[in-house]
Amino acid sequence: MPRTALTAGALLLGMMGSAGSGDMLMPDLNNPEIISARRQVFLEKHCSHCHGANGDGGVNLTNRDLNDPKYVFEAIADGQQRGSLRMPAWRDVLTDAEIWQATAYVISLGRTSR
Amino acid sequence: MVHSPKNNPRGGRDAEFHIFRQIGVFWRSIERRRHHRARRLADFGIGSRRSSRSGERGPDNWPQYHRTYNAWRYSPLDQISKTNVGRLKVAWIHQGGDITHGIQETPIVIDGVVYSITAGNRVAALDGTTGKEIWRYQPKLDPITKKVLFSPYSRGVAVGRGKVFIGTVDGRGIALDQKTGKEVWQVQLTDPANCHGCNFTSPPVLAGDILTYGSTAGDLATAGKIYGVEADTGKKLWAFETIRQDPASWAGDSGKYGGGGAWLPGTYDPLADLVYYGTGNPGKDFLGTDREGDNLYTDAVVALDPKTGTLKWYRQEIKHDVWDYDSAYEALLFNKGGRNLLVHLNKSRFVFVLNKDTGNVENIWRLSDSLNFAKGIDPKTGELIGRVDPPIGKTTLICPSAFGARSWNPGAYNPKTGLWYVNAMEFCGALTPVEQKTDPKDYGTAHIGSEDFGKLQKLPGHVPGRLDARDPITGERKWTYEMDLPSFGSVLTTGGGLVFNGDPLGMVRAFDADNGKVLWSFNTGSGLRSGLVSYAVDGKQYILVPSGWGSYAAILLPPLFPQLENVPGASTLIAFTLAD
Repeated sequence: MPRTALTAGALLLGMMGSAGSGDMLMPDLNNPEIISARRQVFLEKHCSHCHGANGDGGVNLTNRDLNDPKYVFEAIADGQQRGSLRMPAWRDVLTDAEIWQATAYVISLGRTSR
Repeated sequence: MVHSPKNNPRGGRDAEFHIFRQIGVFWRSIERRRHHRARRLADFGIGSRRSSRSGERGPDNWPQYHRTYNAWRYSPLDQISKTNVGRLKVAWIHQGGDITHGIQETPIVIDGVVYSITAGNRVAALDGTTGKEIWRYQPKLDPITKKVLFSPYSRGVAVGRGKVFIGTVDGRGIALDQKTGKEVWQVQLTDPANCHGCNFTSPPVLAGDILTYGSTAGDLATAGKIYGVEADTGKKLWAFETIRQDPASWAGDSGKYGGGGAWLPGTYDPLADLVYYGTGNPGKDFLGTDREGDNLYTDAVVALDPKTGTLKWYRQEIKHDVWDYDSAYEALLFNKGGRNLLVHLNKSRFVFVLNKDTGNVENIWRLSDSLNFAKGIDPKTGELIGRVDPPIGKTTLICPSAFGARSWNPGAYNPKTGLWYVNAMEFCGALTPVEQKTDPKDYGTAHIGSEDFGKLQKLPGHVPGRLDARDPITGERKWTYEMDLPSFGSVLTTGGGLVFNGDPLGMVRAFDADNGKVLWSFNTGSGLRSGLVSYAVDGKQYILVPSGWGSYAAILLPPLFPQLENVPGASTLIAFTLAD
C-alpha cells in the first residue's frame, strides 16, 4: 500500500469523531496532508479524466462554489447528473472513508477555497 | 475547393419555381400516395411487408443503422433538392425525456413509423408525420448501470421480423413486438458486475434470422465478445472472442483483460452472408508493456459467419496499439471495376481499402494530416513504419489524439457523385502512460494506463475540423468545408444532391454535394452527436435530426474548445419537410 495512503489512513483514524456512521468518518477537510493524500486517489480513480488533474478539466471544478461537504460527498457516492453530463456512482467501489477524503480534495479545488 | 462559414454564408433560400418540375413532383406525389395506401397508420399500419434480405425496403424507408447493408447512409429521395432545400420547415418535434449523454442514435424509419431509443434505453415508436408517440417501452435497468463508464445511452435499435431489437447498458438483448412495444424475449449476454461494466451501447445487427451483438470492452478490464442470438427466440447461439487465445499474440495472461470488443454496429452483407465488425482497442489503452505481441483481434476488421460466429477472415489495422486507435467504425462496401471492396477508417487516420472477400489490402490512404504516432504506413501490407510508443511516466504529444482523425460518427457515400462525405479532425493529445492496477470491480475507472485520455492540443497551421468530399478508394479530395469546431455528428447524403451535417453547437447545414456550397442551415438548439436520416410518408420527404449534445466528447472537449462549455443538453427529434 502506498505510503501516502497509509499516512492518510493514520490521520483519518486520529480524527474520527463520535457522530453517525458517515459523520464519524469525516476527516478534517482542511488538513493539507489529507488533501495531498487524496489527490493521488483523485488521479488513480481517473477523476482527472473528466475534471483534470488540477480540477480545471472538461468538467471544471475550480470555478464552482464547492463548500457543502455533504453535497460533494453524495455527488461522488451516488453519481451526479448536470444537464446531459453524467458522473458514475462510487459508493461500494470506494469506502465511505475514501469518499470523504476525495471530498476534501474536491473542496480544496473549488473557488471558495482559494 | 475549400469552404468555411466565413466565405460561405447560409446560402440561397429562395427557390426558383419551375412549372414543369412542380408538375412532375405533383404526379410523383400522386403515385406515391396510391402506392402507400395499404400502409396507412389508421390500423397502426406497420405493414406486413417482410424485410428483404438486404434490408432495402424501398426508398422511403431507413430500415437499418446505415440505411443499407453497404453502410452508405444514402437516401435516394430527391423531393428535397438543391433548388428547394431553402424552404425546409419544422414538421414536428419529439422530446425523448432523459437528456443524460444527449441523444446519440440513428433512428430507424419503416412504413412511416420512427423507432427511436434515448437515454435509459427508452424505446419509442412515433408517427413519422406528426411525431406523436404510438408506444413506448423502458426496461428496468440493473442499478450497476449507475456505476459503469458507458451508460445510459444507445446509438439505435434494429427492426425486423416483426420485432424491435435493442442491446441494453446492463448487458441484455431485448426484443419488442414491433406493433405494440410489448417485450417478446430478453437474454442476459454480458455480466457487467464481473466484466468491468461491459455492456451494449449500440444496436444489434439482424443477419437473416440471427442477431449479432458487439460489446463494449476496449477501455475496460475485460475481454470483449461478439454474440450471436436467435432473432425470434433470444436463444444464445455463439460468442466470438475478440481476444485471441494465443500467448504469441498476448504475452502471459494479458489477454484476460485485453479489451477489444466491438462497440459500434457491424454490418450484415447478404451477398457474402457475412457480418463485418470493427473491433476495439487493446487494454490498457496506453500501456503496452505487459501485453507484448500483436494483440489479435483488437483494432481489426473481422468477418464472421452469422450462423456460427466462425471467423472467415480478419485484417488487423494497428498491431499492438498503444494510442487507443480503435477499428470500431463503419465498413463501406463497393464493387468497383469488378472488385469487391470494403473501405474502413481506423481511428488513426488511415483508411484501409480491403478486398471484401479476403481482407487483403488493396490501398491505404490518410484522412487527416496530423500524424506523429508513426512515420507512415506501408500501403501494400499495412505495417506501421517508425512507430512511437509513449514511454511510461513521460508526456508525449501524440497526433492524432485518442479522439482520432474522426470520432465514431459515420460518413455517407453518394453514388450519384461517387464521393464519400466524411468529417475529419486535426488535433493532438499529450499522453502520459502510468502503471495501473487491474480491477474489474472498479467500475468508474477506465482501464487505460493513464490518468486521462491525453491533454488536447490544436495542430498549428490546421483548422481543427473539416467535412471532406473524398473518393473512397483513392482518397482524392474534391472539396472541403473547414470548421473551427469539428463535427461529431453523422453525415447524411441524398438523391436530391444534398449533404447534411451538424455541429456540436447545434447548427445543421445542407451542402451542395457537388461543390460543398452551404444551401441551408438551422440552429437546433443543442449539439449533434447522432445520425441524421431521411424518409418519406405518403409522398412527402422528411429530414430527421436528433439534436442533443452528450457523450464523453461533451465532457472532454471544452478545455480545447471553450465554446462547448455551456452547450445545453437535450434529447430532441426534429423532423423537417418542405413548406407547402
